[in-house]
Amino acid sequence: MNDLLELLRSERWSLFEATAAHLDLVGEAILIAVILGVPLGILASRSKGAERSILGLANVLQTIPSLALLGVLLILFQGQIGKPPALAALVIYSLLPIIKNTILGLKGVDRGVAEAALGMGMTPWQRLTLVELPLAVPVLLGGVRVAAVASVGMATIAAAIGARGLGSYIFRGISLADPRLILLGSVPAAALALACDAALGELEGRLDPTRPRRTGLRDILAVSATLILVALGLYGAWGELGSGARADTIVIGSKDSAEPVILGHMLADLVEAHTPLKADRRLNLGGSLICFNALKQGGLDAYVEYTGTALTAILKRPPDNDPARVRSTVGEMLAKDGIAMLPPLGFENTFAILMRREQAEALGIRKISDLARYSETLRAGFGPEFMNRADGYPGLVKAYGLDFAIRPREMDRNLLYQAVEKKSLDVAAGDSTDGRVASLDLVVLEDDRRYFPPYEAVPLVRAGAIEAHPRLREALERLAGKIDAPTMRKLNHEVDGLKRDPAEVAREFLQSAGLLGP
Amino acid sequence: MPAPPDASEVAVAWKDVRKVFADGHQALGGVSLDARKGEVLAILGTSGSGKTTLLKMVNRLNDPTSGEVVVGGKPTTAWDPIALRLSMGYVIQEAGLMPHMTIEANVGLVPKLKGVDKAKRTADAHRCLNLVGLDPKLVGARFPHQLSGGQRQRVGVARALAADPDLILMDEPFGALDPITRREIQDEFRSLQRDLGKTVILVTHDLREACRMADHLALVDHGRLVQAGRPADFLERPANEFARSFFQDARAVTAIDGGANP
Repeated sequence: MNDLLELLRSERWSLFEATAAHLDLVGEAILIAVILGVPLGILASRSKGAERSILGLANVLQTIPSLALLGVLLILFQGQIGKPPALAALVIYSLLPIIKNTILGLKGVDRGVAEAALGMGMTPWQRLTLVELPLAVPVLLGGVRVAAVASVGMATIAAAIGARGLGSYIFRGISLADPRLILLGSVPAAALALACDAALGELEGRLDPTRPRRTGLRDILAVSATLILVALGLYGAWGELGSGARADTIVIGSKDSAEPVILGHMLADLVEAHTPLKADRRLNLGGSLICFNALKQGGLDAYVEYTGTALTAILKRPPDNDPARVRSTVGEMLAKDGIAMLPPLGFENTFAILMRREQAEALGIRKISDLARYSETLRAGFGPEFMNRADGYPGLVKAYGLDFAIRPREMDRNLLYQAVEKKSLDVAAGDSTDGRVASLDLVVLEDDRRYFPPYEAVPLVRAGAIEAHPRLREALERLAGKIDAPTMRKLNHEVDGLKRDPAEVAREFLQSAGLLGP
Repeated sequence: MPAPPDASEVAVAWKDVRKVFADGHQALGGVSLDARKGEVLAILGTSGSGKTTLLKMVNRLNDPTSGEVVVGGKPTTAWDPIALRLSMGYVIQEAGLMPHMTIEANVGLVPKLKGVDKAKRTADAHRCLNLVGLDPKLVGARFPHQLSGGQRQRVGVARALAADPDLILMDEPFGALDPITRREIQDEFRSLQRDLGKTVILVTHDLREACRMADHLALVDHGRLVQAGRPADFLERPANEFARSFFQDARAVTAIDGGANP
């Protein structure tokens, strides 16, 4: 509890900014969704055919899983990360309730009133603007309310594509296995959802002429609460304007676990120490493909990738066990995409098959091939990426003749370590350099058939950025060969195990290694 | 039978009007009828008789399948529907007031649609509210739900009068009111109509309302005109058994109520 307060104190300013950015994202999305959705709803209310096609489309859009939608939008937005694709996703999800309630509101207009409006001589436009829309407003606002509350939640997921907001705390919390960070993101998000719900509910009541007017203290409360929300949102929008991509800014990304985040901070610190450029840190992005596509299309300037991952997951090549060959293949192929691969940082992070030490010792399991004897009873769990990659689960079971009787659980890879420690799983795939291997007393089973290809950490940098900023490459190359596996595991442990701020850990290492000096 | 009216005395003429709806149902099978200027014509009938269809042809909420309705000397189909509707008042059951507008705005709505400026609209609204016995200062700023049913119906009448039309259409206007309020409004409306000299076409299933308010009655049944004439004609010379029984039943009810026929 004291921990939490301590963290809250040190994070209060950035938490405030994240809340403002979050509200801004939701507010803009809802505004756009209303501007698009209300006319569509009006159109749909005019004919059965239009209603079917418009609602049909909105329904289909609504059912696209959020991460898939973000992925698609990232490509449509040419790899631009952050606010624009996040905004588009929120708009798409908000359309359905707004369109639906617009139709509902228009159809719900009392028949006597509608007939009177027609019979007294109103044109269709007058009927819509003077009678139908004003009467539909309370129902329509109900739809806006549903959309806003859902968007506050959805906007947290948008952190996967680098959008600012409370989601970045949640993602950081999950990737660093730090429940305090998750609380720091989710409690304000829940409060925002409740505040939006209350504010729009109040507005709904006020715009309904058949309900009694409220006056006095309640007015003052409602108005001031709304003003605070609006001001916060505007502040967020202003902050976002200030942070837009600029010529003197290098956008550094990272995947969403401790190690890439630490390395991302290192790249950013090096840029700021050795070039006149600013670094915009968009860390904790949701996976290799998001990072890579953003890099390829210019939304990111640099991030740290692993050669093996680049070979199989990004370039779709078969796995290869020779580190040097992998490095040269990947380097050549990426160069064609306008991406420069800098020299390796000095350590390999390969997939590691993990077990609890005491269980492994009790069963006498040291090597992966030992698992075959127990694959009847052991419960395994893997991350979604591992489950589906050619060099992941499918190849592993083939190479070692494993036959898990209990279907392996697919879950977030950051949760796997605890799942093994807490005995809800027995076997999991993790990272060989993960600090939790040591801190949770897990063992890495020996890859005795050399199944896993080598994964050397290399910074990938957009060639365009290197050309535009001559000192960039030299600044980033200072890290080449400076981090060996034990060092990386130690740094990871600082963050995963000791719950320290990855930015601080990164900076300390750079300082002690003398990399920030001239 | 009374002599047919002079063409110059006719405000609305239905000429051999037939109406067959899209579903094949014939609502009207050849009806000819006149509404005279400055008089109240009550179209009487049971529900489903076609009386409302006749009324809605006057403001083109319905167009006849064959035959024509002549308003102001030309067939309705030659009128622009909006201009036609703006030229007449329209009162419906439960008044059909706009729930999101004040009473003043409701009454001033048709003048507003016609482009009358705000000052004149307000003056007209106040004048018409006074005409129907409502105090504009008291009710003008209220919303319809804050008024009683009788007050709302009065507002409905005031709204129909606001643009000073020659012709007012009323569709079961007072049907939802309690008997005492209903009689009060009926009498007031009748004397108002006489003072202003408006032509009124009133659709009702209530014989007492028809007799209390109308100069002429038209009894409609199954899409056909059974009889048209002055109330006394119906009592003295009912055209057929249906007309006789319609009036007899109504008279029986009236006797029990203790109400009076004119």
